[in-house]
Amino acid sequence: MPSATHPAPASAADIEREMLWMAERLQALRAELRKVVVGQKDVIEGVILALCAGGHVLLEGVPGLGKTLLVRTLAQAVHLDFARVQFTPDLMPSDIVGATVLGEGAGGARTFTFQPGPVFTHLLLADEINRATPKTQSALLEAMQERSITVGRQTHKLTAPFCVLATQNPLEMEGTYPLPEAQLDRFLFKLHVPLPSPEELHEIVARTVRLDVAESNPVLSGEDILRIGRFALGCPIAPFVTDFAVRLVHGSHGTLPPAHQYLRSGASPRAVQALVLGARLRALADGRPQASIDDVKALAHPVLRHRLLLNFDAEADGVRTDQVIDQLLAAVDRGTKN
Amino acid sequence: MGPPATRMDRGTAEIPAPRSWEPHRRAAVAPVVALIERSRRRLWAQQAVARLPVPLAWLVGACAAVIVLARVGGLPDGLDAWAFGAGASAAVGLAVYAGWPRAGRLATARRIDEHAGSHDALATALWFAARQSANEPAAPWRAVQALAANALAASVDCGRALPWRAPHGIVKLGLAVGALGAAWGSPLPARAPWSRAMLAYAVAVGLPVGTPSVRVAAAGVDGRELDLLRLDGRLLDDIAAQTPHAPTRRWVEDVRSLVDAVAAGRLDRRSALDALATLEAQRPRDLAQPAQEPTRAQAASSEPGTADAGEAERLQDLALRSAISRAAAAAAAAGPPSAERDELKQAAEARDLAALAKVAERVAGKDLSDGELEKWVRAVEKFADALADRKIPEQFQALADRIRRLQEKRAAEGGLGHNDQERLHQARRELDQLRRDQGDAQAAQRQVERLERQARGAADELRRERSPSAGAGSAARATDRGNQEGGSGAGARGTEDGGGGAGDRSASGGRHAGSGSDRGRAVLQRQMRAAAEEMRREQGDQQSRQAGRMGEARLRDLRDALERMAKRSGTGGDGGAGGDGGAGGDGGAGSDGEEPGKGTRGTAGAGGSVPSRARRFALGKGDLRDKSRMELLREGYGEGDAVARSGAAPPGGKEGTGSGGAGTAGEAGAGSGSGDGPGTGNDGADAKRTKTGQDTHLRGAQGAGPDVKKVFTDVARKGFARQGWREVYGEYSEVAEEMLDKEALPPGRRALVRRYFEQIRPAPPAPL
Repeated sequence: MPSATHPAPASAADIEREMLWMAERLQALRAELRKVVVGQKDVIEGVILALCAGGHVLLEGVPGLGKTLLVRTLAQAVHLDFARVQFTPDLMPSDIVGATVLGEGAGGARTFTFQPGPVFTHLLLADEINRATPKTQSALLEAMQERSITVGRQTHKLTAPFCVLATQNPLEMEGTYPLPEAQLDRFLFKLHVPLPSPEELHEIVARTVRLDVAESNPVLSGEDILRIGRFALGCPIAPFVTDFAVRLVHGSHGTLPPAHQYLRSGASPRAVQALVLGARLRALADGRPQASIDDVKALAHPVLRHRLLLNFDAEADGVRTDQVIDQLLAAVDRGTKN
Repeated sequence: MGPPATRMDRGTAEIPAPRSWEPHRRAAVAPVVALIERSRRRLWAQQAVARLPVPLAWLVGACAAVIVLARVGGLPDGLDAWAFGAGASAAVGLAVYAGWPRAGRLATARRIDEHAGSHDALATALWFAARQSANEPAAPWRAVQALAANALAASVDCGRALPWRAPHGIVKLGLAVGALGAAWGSPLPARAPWSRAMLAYAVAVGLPVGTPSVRVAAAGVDGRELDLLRLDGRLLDDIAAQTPHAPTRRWVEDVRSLVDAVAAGRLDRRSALDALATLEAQRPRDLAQPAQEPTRAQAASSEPGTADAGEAERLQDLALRSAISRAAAAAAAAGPPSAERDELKQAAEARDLAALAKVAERVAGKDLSDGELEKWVRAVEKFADALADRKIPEQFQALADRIRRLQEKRAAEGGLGHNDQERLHQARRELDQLRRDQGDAQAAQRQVERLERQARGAADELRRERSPSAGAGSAARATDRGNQEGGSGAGARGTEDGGGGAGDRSASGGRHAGSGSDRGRAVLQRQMRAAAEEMRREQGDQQSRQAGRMGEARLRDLRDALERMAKRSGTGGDGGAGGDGGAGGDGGAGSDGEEPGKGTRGTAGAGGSVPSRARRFALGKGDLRDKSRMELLREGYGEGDAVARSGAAPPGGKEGTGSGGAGTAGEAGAGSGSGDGPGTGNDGADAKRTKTGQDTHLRGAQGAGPDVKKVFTDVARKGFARQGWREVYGEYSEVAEEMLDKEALPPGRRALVRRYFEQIRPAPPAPL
């Protein structure tokens, strides 16, 4: 929404200026992140887009790939508050959201005061979120969706921008609690953190195993993030691009052959919202004033891979979610060209 | 709530034509519009070119097939026009099909964007320019998009963005055009080998297939036969023109028509045989057939219309002509020196009855002196004496008796000595030579006797007129002789003449003593005119009989040709069995009971030692029960009967003069067959193919031999489960839930088990 500080662009020149500013800021942000984080270009791009879109990100990767480092560096670069929570099976909801504790006031009177939990931050790193119990996981649901915490009878608003970056280890399934579909759906993107290449490993060693380790400098503020988000919301998207996203999501419910064969459940309408918003941001971040079908295709995997549930046939045939998404994209693309 | 979203609002419809936009919106993206319209036209042309080859290839291939069928199988008349019309209509339809529908603006814009890597910049600008008005909050955005799109449109090369590519079906079109060119340009044989047997069979059973030339060709008539048939046709034309007897002439013309129809392929074999049999039965025989004694030749071949009967008729005519010519030569020797006598001598040497008639006419019209009259009277007497001469028949009889005695001697003694054998051969040669020179004098004997009586009567009458004192007796003798004449015209005329002459003479015997020369001249004139008329009639009859014989000979040739057609249709191969026969020479001396060789055609060659293709297509023995004739013709392999039957071989040489019969047939060659016997392939085993493999069963006695093991891997691959998981899921899920409730499991494990069963839950059936 336009704010008093930054009204909506009124002319084409304003838009071009805003686009230029946005591109420069985001480019600077990328540069700062690359100073610390080696490789992971898609992950960085996805995290930035999700942050600008006001969404949350689920990062999946084996330990030691720099997931925490990325989030911390991001927090430094955008000058936002950062909190990290290590999820364990004994973690309680109050450990996340905070609790009301009995305290003593100035006159010695005892009152209940609310002690905010680590969720009251801008960037929350929920490490190994699948280790916590579902009860604890659900405590994060309200914060992620509503941007507020209700403790007792009081609702506490979270400050914007608020972004949860959760991580989970794809290997260790012992003693874990897979996130339910409802909670997974609240993440804007699910990003796979890949193993670094040998060249990247060399670079990692060169940068980290040394006395002076680089750190990022703040290049954006929270307000800038919100401004970018508002700017992207004003960008019109052609109906045929939206139609592509709609047919992709609708097709995941069985109307397209790959979905019918391999999916137990398709994506929710949040997926369409994520695709459209993400396409806009991606186009603007790329310096283009229009979102395209290519942008939707580029974001299909991060948006859909955690929203599609494979059936037994897919697991029996060894088909992964990304493969099904590729087939869905091909089917929708054929329909578009015909 | 607003109205439901339309297809247009959802962006799935086509961008409307720019002329329907508001002018300011059109102007805002003018470069983009121009680029898109230009690209659409290019795409339309490319699509038209891309779509045309395959249907065009089908069309061209169909034309090639039509050409091939027309040349080989024959198409109905007028199909060319239909084919052209259909082809033209198809071409127009193709052009319309290829250009319909034209690529949409949105699709074209996206295609250009894809080439330029512009991320739908053109498509987005075009879309918003066509749909949105200027007064909207997003108007500045659209302006920015339009600016970027216009800049992009100016830099896009339409040709590079939409390059021409080789059409999908260009190879097929090239092959089809090549096939059309081959079908059009290459001279397809009129008798395609692969269709010969089928077409020949169809022609043989009377099916109207193929063009006339194809039918003729398929019927197995080769070029030489066609040429001979055409020659026969022209010969029959000449014969008909020279035939005085109208029914015979019409019959010969009918024969000519039949021969022409077969040569031109207007008649199939069956119809031709029917017409041929009808014509053979319809040969006019109401000519003045000479009474004759049946000769040995006629006894051997009693059917009229056969070569033997025709030959006997010819020899009889020749004998009569020879007798008349000998008598005319004797008369010429006694006649007065004159041009007429010379002509008479030449006519006698040429055995030309028409010339003899002409001489008689001239003598009848000449004013003769008394001396000339006397000499001509003497010539008539010599004519009659010569006709009475039995020397030639006696020679015939003497030779026949000699041959008979020697044959009887050989039969009695079981053989002949060398000298007797030589005498026998010599006698046969002399008899044959005598027959060739003089005809069959014995057969013509009664005709000669009749002529002799006429001539004698004329001579006596003339002599009586020259000698009035003997007029009464001569008149009485003339009357008696005249009454003895038979019912022939000449005899009747003789009777009339004799009677009239006798009456006149008896009435005026004394009165004509002074005008005997005048009366003699009048009688000579009358006799000469009568003789001329007789000669002409005999000439015409002989010509008509000759025309009939030649017509019958052509019919025999045609029947032989049709029989060869039938055999070739069954053989289906090129060339006759056994190849050409040798040139036919003079007929050799006949052997016992046989007629001397009479074929002026070459004798057919014996079946060649090399099995020809003809033999292979003979019908196999014992196969007729199981297979159709067509199958046997197609297969053509088997132990067939010999093909080189009578008349199967082609004519060995050019036909000579006269109506020669067909040469003797060559020896029937031994049939050779080759073919696949039953059950070849797996000796001792029955191989049966199934859908997924081949079952092999081996029969044998149990013994110490190697074992054969066969592993069935299908079950191993697919598992031994008898029921699908969909059928058992419900039970398993319920049991699992019970166990979860009973057992003390960590919550995380419970969730894992439940998640597992959730994942393997059968999907609902596909929506219809």
